[in-house]
Amino acid sequence: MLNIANTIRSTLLRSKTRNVRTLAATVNPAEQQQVQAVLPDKLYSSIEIEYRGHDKAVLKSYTTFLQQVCKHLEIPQGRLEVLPYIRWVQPALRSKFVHKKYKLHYETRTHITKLEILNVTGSTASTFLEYIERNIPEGVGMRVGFTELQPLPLTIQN
Amino acid sequence: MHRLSHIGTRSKSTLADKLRNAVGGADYGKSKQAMAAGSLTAKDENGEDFRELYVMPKRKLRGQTQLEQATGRAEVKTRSRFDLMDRLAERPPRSEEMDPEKHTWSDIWPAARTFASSVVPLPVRMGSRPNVEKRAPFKKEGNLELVKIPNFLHLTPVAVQQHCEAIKKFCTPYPPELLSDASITPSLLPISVQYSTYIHQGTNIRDIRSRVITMIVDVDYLKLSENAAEKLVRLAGNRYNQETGQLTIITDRCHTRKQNLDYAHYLLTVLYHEANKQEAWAELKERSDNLQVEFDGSTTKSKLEDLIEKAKSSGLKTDEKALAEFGEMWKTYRNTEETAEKTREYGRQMKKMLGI
Repeated sequence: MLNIANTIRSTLLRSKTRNVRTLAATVNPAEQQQVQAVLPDKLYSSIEIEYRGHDKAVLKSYTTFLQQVCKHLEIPQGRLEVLPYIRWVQPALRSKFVHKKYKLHYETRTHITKLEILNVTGSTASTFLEYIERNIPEGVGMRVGFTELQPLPLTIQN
Repeated sequence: MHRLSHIGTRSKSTLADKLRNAVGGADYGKSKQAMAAGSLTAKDENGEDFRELYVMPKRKLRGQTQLEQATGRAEVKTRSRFDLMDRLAERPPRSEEMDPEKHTWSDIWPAARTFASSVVPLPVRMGSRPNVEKRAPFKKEGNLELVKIPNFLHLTPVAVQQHCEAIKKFCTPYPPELLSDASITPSLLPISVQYSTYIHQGTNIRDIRSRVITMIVDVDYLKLSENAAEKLVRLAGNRYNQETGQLTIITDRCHTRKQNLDYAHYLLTVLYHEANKQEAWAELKERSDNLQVEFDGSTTKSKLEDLIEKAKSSGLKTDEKALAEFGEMWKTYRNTEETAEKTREYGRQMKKMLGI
């Protein structure tokens, strides 16, 4: 089938009277060379969980929860970092008309905390993270940064 | 005990006696008494006095109640509330019926829930007060502030332990061979791939930043020849870090993470194979094309050799073996950032070599 497609393409290209746009050659993924080595389970040297929220107390409670889970699931915990908050300020005019000098100060504070987890497998990581993510409190957003360890690709033969 | 004995000494009397005593004693209503006692003249067939039938009502008569009210000794009858049946039909709050022996908190509050004051048995108070010592913050019943904040009542330490026990079977241990020996990991797994996942509330669950892949490879473990390693460094450009010997490839060119990862692998493969290729024009390389300044073949080396000869002939104690050591120091000095310490080292080595 690939040969037929290629012959059609070549004949069409040769004929200059027709300006036909051809498709790219079809590729069968099963026949392609495997590039990435497949391990029985993924290995992560570290997973960094960064969670942000407007309420410092909520983040603190969530941190104690995460630490408890790490302890029960026997996951080695890395460093815990409480970063300074990010402030977003938008003042509004206090008066309906004129008086630009007098404003109302409105700001939003986003508090940030980072927790690191070291040396976990893919199954442990997915179990831990699913449980963690199902129990995120309201008003908290999260970024999970993975550092996966992989062997050399199969295309590089030492 | 004293009070009880005082009540016991009160003598029992009939109603008429009570009334009489309440009013003024035994003298009240003598004429009436005479009437009630019956006349001596009237006799029944057996020759006995008529016994007047007097049915006593089983209540306090008007006169007595009025007297009691006047004196302030009236019994105040408590009337039951009009809504008593409705109030009895309402159950007390659940928190009052809870018993730690019979109930477990994780059964009562299994999942995340907005705060329900009738269920939570804690005497929590919340509210901003100008003076907390004078007036306590508001109680939990009907407190909106407690409802608004997120609570962790479903994640008590006991509950967390139970949950973890349940999910523990899905965890696998990290290979202990990799943990025990720190040098195995980079040789077996020289590539580290970094990517992020984002969770936030919104209408869209996707985050475009999660497609970015950062691949860091330790070039030593690619086991390239010297020429190939140099060619790789030239091809990589600023993606190669000379100090750490790491090649960093950051891709965000494609739409999905998997595509970017495949592309990063492709780039690494291409770099490796291109580095191993030896082109004919590579042999035209001159000393000025080198990435690092070499000591061998430099004018410094030839001049130093002359200088050493002259110093030896003039009588100074020169050290020829120190020339190789000087060469290495010189290469580091020329190819890395200059510091005061490196400059001092240069001077020391020069003096040592010339025997000054």
